[in-house]
Amino acid sequence: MEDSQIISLYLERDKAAILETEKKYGKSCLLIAENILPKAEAEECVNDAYLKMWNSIPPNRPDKFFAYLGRIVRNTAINIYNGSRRKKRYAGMMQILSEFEECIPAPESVENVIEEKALTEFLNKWLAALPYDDRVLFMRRYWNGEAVNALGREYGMSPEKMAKRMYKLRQLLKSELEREGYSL
Amino acid sequence: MKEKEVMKLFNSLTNVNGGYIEEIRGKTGRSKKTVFVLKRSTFLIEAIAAACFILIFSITVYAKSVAPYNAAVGYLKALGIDAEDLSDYSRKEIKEAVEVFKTGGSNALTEKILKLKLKNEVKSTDEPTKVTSEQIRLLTPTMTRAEVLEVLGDTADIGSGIYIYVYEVDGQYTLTIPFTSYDAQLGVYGETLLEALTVKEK
Repeated sequence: MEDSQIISLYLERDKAAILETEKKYGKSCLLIAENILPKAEAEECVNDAYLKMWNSIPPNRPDKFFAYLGRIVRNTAINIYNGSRRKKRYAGMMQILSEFEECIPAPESVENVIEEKALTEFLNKWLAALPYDDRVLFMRRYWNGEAVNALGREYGMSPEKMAKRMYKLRQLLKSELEREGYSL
Repeated sequence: MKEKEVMKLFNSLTNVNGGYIEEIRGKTGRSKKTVFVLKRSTFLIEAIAAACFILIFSITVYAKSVAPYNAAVGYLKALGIDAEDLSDYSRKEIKEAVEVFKTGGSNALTEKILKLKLKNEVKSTDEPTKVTSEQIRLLTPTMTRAEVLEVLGDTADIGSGIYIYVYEVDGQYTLTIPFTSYDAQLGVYGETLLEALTVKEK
């Protein structure tokens, strides 16, 4: 079913909307959640996300259905992660966050603390300037949470080579933040 | 870890332009390269299955044809027929002949093969084999002709119609051991035979 048809089902308050969403994007949603949470909690997170979708459409009418759904799943997963007392058990998420730490500019080198919304805008510009392959790789690793080994296999690269490519991207982000004079 | 800053960056990434999220939609595990890897895995599994089938097929063929043939040759060898002498016969003929031997019967083929055995026996040495009195003492009355030859070794047969084997004992005596038939037993102890030694003629 086309995304527009699924959105129409939501707008008509037809419960088949959730079934169709699950059918088309269930696996992708679970993947996003599983890269942040343990499996059992990820499933719960995705179900919560479907409910949020049901409650948010209408009034919202997303242009990009998957992006809208993905953001809800990701935000729900992050909220569950932040609320958990067992954060350190989520090895995949811990790994991603430790990699992200390398992107944080040194405090003395920056002038302005950037707000979250502005940071998103900055990221949009930075991603737009990246070559397509690098942008997709960065998003798959840090938005989708896909493992470096799996990405390496898919791109015909060794895990070490893929990790090096990711490191370069992180360094690029860090230097761009520093160049703009931003602090987090 | 600078947790607050890191989470800020992580959260900000969540809300990036939907276009970038759409770019990675369905990419996981579905790229052409991944499909290729899956296909390659399937091919590998199929190749392994084919190799296993060929191996099992070969073992079956071996078990059905080669193994019985080898067993038949082994049987004929035990009867005193060398495998080299069987080169004129097909595997099928050899297996058939052994089946006939095992049932105690005979036919033209088994008769021909038995002639090889006789031919081998004629080949036996003309010179007395040198043995020691210790070897002679190992002989017992129930030993067959073949068993005696196994202990003392093949030697000159001076018999005509019966088997009379001649041995040189301890370098100075001559011993003759007679057998009335092909399957006859020795009938005496080796010690008794030593009492019947004659001095070797020079």
